[in-house]
Amino acid sequence: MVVDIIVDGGMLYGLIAVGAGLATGLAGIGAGVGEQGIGAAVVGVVAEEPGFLGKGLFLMLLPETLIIFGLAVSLILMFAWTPFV
Amino acid sequence: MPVLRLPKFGDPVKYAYITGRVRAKKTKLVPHDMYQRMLSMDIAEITRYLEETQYKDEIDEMAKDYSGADLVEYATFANLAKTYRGLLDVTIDEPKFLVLEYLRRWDVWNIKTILRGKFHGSSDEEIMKYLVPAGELDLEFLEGLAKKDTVEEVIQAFDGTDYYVALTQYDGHMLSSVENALDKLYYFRMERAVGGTLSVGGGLLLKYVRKEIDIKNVITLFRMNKAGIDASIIQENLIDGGKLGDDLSRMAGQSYDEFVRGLEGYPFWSAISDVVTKGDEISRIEARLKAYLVRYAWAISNYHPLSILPVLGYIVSKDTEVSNIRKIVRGKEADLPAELIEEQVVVA
Amino acid sequence: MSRVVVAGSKNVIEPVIENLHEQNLLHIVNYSGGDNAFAMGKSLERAHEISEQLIKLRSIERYLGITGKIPDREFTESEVVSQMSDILDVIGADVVTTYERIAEIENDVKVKQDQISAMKPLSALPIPLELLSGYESLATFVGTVDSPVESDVSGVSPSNEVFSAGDHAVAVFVPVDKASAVSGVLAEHGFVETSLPKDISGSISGAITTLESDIKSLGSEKEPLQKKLDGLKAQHEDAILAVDEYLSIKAQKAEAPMQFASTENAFVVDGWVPTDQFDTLEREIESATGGRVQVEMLNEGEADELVEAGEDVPTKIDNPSVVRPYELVTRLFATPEYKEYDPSLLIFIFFPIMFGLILGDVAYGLITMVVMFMLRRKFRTPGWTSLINIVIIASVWSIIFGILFGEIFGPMGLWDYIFSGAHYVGLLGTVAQPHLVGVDFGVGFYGPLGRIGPSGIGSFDGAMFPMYRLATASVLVLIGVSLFIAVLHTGIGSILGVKTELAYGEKRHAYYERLPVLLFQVFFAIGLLGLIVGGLTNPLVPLSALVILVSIVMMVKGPEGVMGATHIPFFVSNLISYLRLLAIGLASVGVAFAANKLAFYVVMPMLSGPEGAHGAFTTMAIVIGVVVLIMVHFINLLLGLLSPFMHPLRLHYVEMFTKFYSQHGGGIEYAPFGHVRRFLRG
Repeated sequence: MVVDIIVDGGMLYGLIAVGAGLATGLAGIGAGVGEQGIGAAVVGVVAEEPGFLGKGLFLMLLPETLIIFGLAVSLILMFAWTPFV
Repeated sequence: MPVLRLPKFGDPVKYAYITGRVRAKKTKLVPHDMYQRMLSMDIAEITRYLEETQYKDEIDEMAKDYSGADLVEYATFANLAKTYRGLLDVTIDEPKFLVLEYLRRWDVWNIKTILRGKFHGSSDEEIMKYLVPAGELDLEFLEGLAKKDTVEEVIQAFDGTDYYVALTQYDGHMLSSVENALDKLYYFRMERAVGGTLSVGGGLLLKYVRKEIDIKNVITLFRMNKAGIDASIIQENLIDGGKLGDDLSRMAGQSYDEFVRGLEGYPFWSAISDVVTKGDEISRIEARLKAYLVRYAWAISNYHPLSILPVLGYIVSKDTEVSNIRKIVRGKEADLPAELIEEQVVVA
Repeated sequence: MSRVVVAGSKNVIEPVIENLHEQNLLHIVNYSGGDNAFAMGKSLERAHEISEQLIKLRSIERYLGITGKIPDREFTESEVVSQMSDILDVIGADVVTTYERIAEIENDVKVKQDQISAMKPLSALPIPLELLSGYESLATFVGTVDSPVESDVSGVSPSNEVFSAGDHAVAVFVPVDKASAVSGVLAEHGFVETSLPKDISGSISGAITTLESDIKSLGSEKEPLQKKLDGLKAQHEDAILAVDEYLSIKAQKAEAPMQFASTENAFVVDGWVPTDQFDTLEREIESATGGRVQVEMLNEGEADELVEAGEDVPTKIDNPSVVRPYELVTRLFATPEYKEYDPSLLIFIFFPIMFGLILGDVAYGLITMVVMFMLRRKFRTPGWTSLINIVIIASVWSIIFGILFGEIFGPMGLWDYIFSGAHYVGLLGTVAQPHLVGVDFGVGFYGPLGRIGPSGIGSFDGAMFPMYRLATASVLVLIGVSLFIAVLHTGIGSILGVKTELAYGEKRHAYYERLPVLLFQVFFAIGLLGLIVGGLTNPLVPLSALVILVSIVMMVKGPEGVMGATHIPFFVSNLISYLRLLAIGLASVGVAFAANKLAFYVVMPMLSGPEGAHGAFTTMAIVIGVVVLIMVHFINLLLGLLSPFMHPLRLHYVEMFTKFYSQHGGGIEYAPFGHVRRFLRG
């Protein structure tokens, strides 16, 4: 039935690829939204106090792990579930 | 009790940069224990200390023309103007609008300075030194005003602006009525411009400004009630728009003890409770109240970290710092005892 | 560090200050009042004079534009003293007058330029300037209008004189009593008054020419003055900075007593000194004052009491010279506290490896190294030197990893193409026929890894990772390597965390907050490995599950209670976060791969026409192809330098430091009373 069409018709791989794209892409948007405020604030502080750069980076890069989560999901989808290279 | 309010999406982000920046600037202010130490330095040492802080540019620049207390005073004024202008330069949109609206008080200050200078016949240069072009009126315009010959001409130059109505109250003998009218105009404008147009950000600005008006009024009451001035005259000198407006105007004309008892229970009471009853100098009470206001600005900015409040807190802190330095330096110049200077220094 | 108290009578205060300054050993703790027996000290008499001289000197520095530089020559103290008055008074006065004249000229020029631009529109008016103002019975209006005004002016004031030139410039003369009416009329025509210079006479266009020549002559006056300032700067820069340093040192000494506690006749200095240096300090001070001071070391208990009361023990950061550049990374985050482990050494070990793992390209690594060696000559300040050294060490690792990965400007496939003419090259050097190119690990090298995933769907027969797909396997291997580094890195962090907490005497925090994190993360990874290797039945899986359970129980019993267990997602994400090592590396390989592909498989064949499709490219095509190659690789290298730097930094700051570092608010650095001499000979 539908499942067979999806699986045998090759749609499975297409859908997996789309899913992998969504996983990374949406995670990236989320991280971006999170980082915009932090980034703006950090730039503001660093403009006054260059020594804050290290801690600023620490705060700014915190939400970045989100993308890595998305990417991990994508990698597993792409490399473990499909014959793509 | 503060209620957790979900911010409008994307809105507070506008404040992220500037709040980050002013919080960093705040750490560069003169630390509080430094005021103690300044009291045991002489003016040259204080100048050199300031030369090694954010006042470096101004002191280096002016050192050839002035020395001693004058140098510190003019340099701090110039630095104040530069700092505030700098804030306007690095803000955009709503924060810029609100900061400018608040900084208009320096327009009022400048107009008052020029009027006073012209009234007492000071020279143009003398007046220019005390101007702080941090508001809307720029240095060029103010320079033009300072070059005019009489008070009337200065007033005429404002024809067509909001200030004109307030300025025309000048009767040729007394400036105090005009100065009062200017103050009231400033707060009236703020309420109209900010309260009408904006929601969250402007509301916070007003919240703080109302508090400021209250504190100003309390200080006025302290001074005038102690001097035993008539209730109606005091009421004329109170500024409208404060949160406690009615309460405070009722206190006008009360005897000092009665007035002090009436203040019990207000939020600022804890800041002054130990000094009022001893019948200390008003200047100490005033310093305490001003310190309370600075603390208040920073305290409520913790509830609204991404808002105009930290910026206001910084503006007030910087203003306090400059006036503290000036008090210390002027006090030293006049050879006042350290205790007398210390009681006027605002330590928030 | 040992807590030291130096006490003496006021008459030895100067030799003590001199001696302390010279030794550069004692980290003075400011006396901040609070003890009724002692007052805050007052600075020495001469502080006033020194301060005034410094203020003067700094303003001279400003006018000359001196902002500090690397010393070209050094001065002895007597040289400085002999030159000081000359610099402060003679040269200083010269600088100030020259500078003032320049400022004056600049102001004049601006005024004149304003006048010119104001008068320009009126230049065609046929009336001399002196006739445009100064009448008693006439009111004059000179300026610009939008439309002709003659008829309207006549309407309100029959007696008038209107001059106009061009469309806009007007000069209107009317009797004084009609002035206000006329001004109203003019306003309707958009009249803007021009303020005319009062001190110039003659025609307007003539006045403009005069002003222009004035500006020119002012400019020619300014030029030699500016040259003179530059000459003074070049001549005296080092001497001025030496005097600055000399005076700063004197001011520092003169103001030192303000850090002391003092009474009418005595003073007390509190401070910290490295424990092994105490004897030197004591001996030196006593010999300098003839034994008239009391130098005492507080015992540990007393020192600890002071620390409890909120005093900071300064930390002396001390590392071998190879590690020293990495102190920069540590300091960027926070100064370690006295009892904390200085993580510079760990950064020295892990940071370059992570950098190399991400960049992982022989060519990129070499280019980076060469560029950094070139930059090192240019940027010689300590901060830049450290940064450049960090990147140089890291680029060595990226060359090593580049060899391992077989990457030179992207996957080796590029070179395969050039040397062997292979036609299909996949990402990460995969090829359609892997046994012909690159390293072939052989079937089954990755063994049981192939068992993950569903089997029997579609055309799959259950073996998800056929070995001819090297890329797939390398990604999986890299995931494994990343996780291995993750466990090692965070594990070391956790062990240090336990040690640090024990050093602070916080046993509960050590065993119920730091230790369970270590157990959790290590066994989470081991469990994962077991799952992959042998599925649920692998003995590693239940074992890890048990340990993880125990660690969670420990967290719950810890100082934070149940809230302690809420950090678990953070610990899991810590581990996953290390996948960025693989991910970012992959991205930059991808771009390099795309660059090669774009050049060799798209641009060059297209430009060579149909006959060139199989390797016989035209010269033109090769040139453009190489340009494309260089551009894309350049961009990739720029990006590829930024992220390998930032992301390992983050892994240290977020994933590792949170386990042990800066949990107590950061320390202060050991800054002994003294001065680093740069322009003065010691």
